[in-house]
Amino acid sequence: MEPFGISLFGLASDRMSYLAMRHQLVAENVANANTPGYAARDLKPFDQELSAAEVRLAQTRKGHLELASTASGNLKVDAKTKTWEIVPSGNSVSLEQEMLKASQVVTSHALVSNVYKSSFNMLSTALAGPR
Amino acid sequence: MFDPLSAAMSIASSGLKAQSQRLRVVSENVANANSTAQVPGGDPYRRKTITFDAELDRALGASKVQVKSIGVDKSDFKLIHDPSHPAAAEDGYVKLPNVSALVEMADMREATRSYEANLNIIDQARKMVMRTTDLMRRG
Repeated sequence: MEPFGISLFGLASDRMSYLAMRHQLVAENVANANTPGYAARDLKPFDQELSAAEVRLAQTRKGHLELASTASGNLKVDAKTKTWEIVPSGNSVSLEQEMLKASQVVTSHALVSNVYKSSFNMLSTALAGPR
Repeated sequence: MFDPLSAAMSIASSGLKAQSQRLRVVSENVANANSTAQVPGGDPYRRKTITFDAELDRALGASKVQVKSIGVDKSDFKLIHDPSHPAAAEDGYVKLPNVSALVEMADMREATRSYEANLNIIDQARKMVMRTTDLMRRG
């Protein structure tokens, strides 16, 4: 659905699944913050993911199924992400950095859900008039 | 595929479990910091250690944390000269546990800090789920 010329809703939901996936990786890192030899993992920045997700399967017939989501299924995990410190046991998780990332994720998620909601409200205003 | 947010919560809860087991080991060590042998000249309490391991949960597709092993610290016991002690050997020396209060306190602090970080992750995941379900609310 592209009501404003751009696929705003698609973009918002892609961003939301990106953020959820990133939060999962942060959770993995935090859970393994004291595991010897564990290397912290993260996702690539969202703009890189977005340009990577442009390639889709062509629908040349009506019967062809559309892929459900563009980005969420094939997000690239960056296993060699830069971290602030590596402790002698070989663990590269910095709790401070992970807390920072987690709060960034929550803030962006709040922003995206607000954008989603406002767009939806605009659509319903256009369809039904103000209540 | 599993929903990443509920996956995050279950991963963080595995972290909570691991850190609380670590705290249990610390409290065992602290409680037994002065436990000497039952027989004269015998070995006292030996400090316990705990190690963690990343474990891939296949259903979840993510690595949780688990306790790999609870081992013992093989370092030497402290010796003090106290012939009147019931656990003293024939030469008058008593073996005391190889527990250092300072090390245990540092370990306890780190466990608490990691526990709180995991708790924080669960709270944030919960907030994001609430926000998403709030999209269904009118107005």
